[in-house]
Amino acid sequence: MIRASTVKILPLDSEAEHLEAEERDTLSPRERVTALFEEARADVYAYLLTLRLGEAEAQEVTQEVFLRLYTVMRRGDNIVNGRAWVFRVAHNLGLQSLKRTSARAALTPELEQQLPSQDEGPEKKLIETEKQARLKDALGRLSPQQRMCLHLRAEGLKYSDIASILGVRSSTVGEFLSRALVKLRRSVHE
Amino acid sequence: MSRQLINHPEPGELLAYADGELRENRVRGVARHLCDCEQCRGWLEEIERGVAEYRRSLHKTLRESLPAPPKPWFDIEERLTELDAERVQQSRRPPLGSPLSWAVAAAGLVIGLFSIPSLFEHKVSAAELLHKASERQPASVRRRLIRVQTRSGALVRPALWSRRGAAFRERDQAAALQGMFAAANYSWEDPLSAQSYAAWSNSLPSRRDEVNDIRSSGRLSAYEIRTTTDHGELTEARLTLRASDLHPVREKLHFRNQEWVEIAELQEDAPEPERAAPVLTAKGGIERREQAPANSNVSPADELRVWAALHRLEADLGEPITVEREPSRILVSALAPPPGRRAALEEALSGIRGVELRFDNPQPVRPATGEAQPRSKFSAEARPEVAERLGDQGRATEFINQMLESSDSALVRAHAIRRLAEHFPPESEQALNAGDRSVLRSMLRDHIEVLREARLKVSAALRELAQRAPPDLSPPSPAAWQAGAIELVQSSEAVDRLLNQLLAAQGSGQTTESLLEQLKTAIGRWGASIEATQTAVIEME
Repeated sequence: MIRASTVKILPLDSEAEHLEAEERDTLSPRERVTALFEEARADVYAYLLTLRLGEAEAQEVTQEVFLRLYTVMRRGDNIVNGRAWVFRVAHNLGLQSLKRTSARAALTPELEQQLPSQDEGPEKKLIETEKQARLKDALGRLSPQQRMCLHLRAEGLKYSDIASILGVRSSTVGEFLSRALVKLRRSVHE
Repeated sequence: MSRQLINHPEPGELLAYADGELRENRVRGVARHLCDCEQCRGWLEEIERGVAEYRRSLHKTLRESLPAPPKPWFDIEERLTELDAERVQQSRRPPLGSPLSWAVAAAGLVIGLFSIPSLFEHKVSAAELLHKASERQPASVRRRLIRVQTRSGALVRPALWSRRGAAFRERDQAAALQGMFAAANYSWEDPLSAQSYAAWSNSLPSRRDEVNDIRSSGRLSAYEIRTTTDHGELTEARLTLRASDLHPVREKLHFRNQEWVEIAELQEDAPEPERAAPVLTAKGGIERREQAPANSNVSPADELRVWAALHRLEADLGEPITVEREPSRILVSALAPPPGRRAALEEALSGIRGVELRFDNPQPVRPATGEAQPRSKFSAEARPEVAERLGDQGRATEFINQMLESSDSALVRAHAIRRLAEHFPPESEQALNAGDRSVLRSMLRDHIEVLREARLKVSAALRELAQRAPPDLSPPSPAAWQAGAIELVQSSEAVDRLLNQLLAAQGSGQTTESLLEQLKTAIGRWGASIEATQTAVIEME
């Protein structure tokens, strides 16, 4: 029998939060923003691409988000979780940007379309295994909300942060995630 | 088998437990269950593998396959230094209200009087002007009207406006503008004001400000503040402040999508024609019709007769008509009524003591090109989930139009009650005799009736959409009906906003389920507010 308290499937954020709290106390806003920019810009950029922003737009929005973070921190706002703040603002700015260029049909991440295809020349080296192909297929069958939850959770965000970004309750985030994961497991191993 | 084994936790609960996200009062129960239940442990292990695969996919396969940013990342240190430099530049000059700034101003004035007329004027900064103009903005701007001109049309509206479109029946145009302003982080409720301009410009990470003097016959007549920025939806904004009192009279906003909006004041609280900027008089004229000599003091009862007359014509339901009681007259201003309406107003108000009826005639309120737009109905596609629940898009469109019309009529009534509350606060109400109080009560009852009907329709719609009923909340403790008027407007607006988001908006970022839940709560609050107002009106007896 295993001890239930040892069951842990995703890294808890408490350690990261603890570090961030320490940083809040010791680092200036400029140092915090600079460090977070280096650490998270690629993640934010990738998230915006999965929202279907173009590459230039995604980069512009990513940079804008960090400047905004600096502005609000400098003003004295207490940003407890900078990473979650950055994702939330990026999500909102990303949707606004999509509205501006409304030629795109949907406002939802399409992870499966971002995965490389076996036929793409420059990406040939990234040959998908059969399992990856199944995963890609399974991702395509998730609802947009499930995909966004999964993506943000994998980025290390807490349920409450994801709930705030997507405009749902924290309990709903848990539901979305568990349904998504069950579907993924079934698809990959069936 | 123990009870915990029979009742397995929901998958969401198990995942939340493993993520450290479970509510404290459930943690112990789930932990105990997992100790005993092999099935759930197995499920968690499966999920763990799924998560690991997904994370691998996200961080390796997916991340590596995504296109790289087209340009190198900017040097954030450099950009932050620029931001700091801009901030220092903006704050170097002391605020206009500080002793130092007044010393500077006085020095400038002295120099100006003797030798260099424009020295001080040129030195004034955008931040100073906005700060001073914000302080001077009059508290009462009820009669102030503005004209909002866009590339495709124009509308006239009160300068301070907390509701969407109902007053002038321009739903689509006003809603589109509201959306543009919201995206630009610019106040649509009070667009022509120094506060709103300052709030927007201060929210920008970086911007460039300049102040230009506008001269008329060699004299300084106005300041134009111009702000340009690379951030957000607005690329450029210009605000014109009258030099004599820093009153905002005109504004032009350029949006990143090449659209522009020009806003100009049509009328102000205390017009002083010799000081008014040309924009105030060039576009319209004012006619005055004095109905009766204003040689004695008018009373709340006289004003009540005006409102009752307007109510009989339904002219108190969002028409651009304002009523102001002054010591010796009641000024009724109507904005460009059609000839028939104008005659009806003249007739209805004739004979009421002290009434001065005024017709303001701005430029025609119609699109700049093409024919006048009829009151258009909702035409965009409904949310797919909404259409699905209602059967098809056709039925959904019809349903949405009915809901939005109900909400519109409710909003208009809530605002009518609010206006009565503003014009007849408890002390004015007390000054009315029993007969007059009965007239006031009757008007209020009419409005409440429509509100109740709208609430029933919207509640029924919620049941049809989501098979759920709004909660019956207890009305707030009894108070005068005037005290609840703001809450009535706010709760009506909350329902209206959610209905719009739920039925019409695309990409609001909220799920249908979440919006339905919020709507349920908002309708409960709305119902409580209507009930409270009704109870208070009954208690006026």
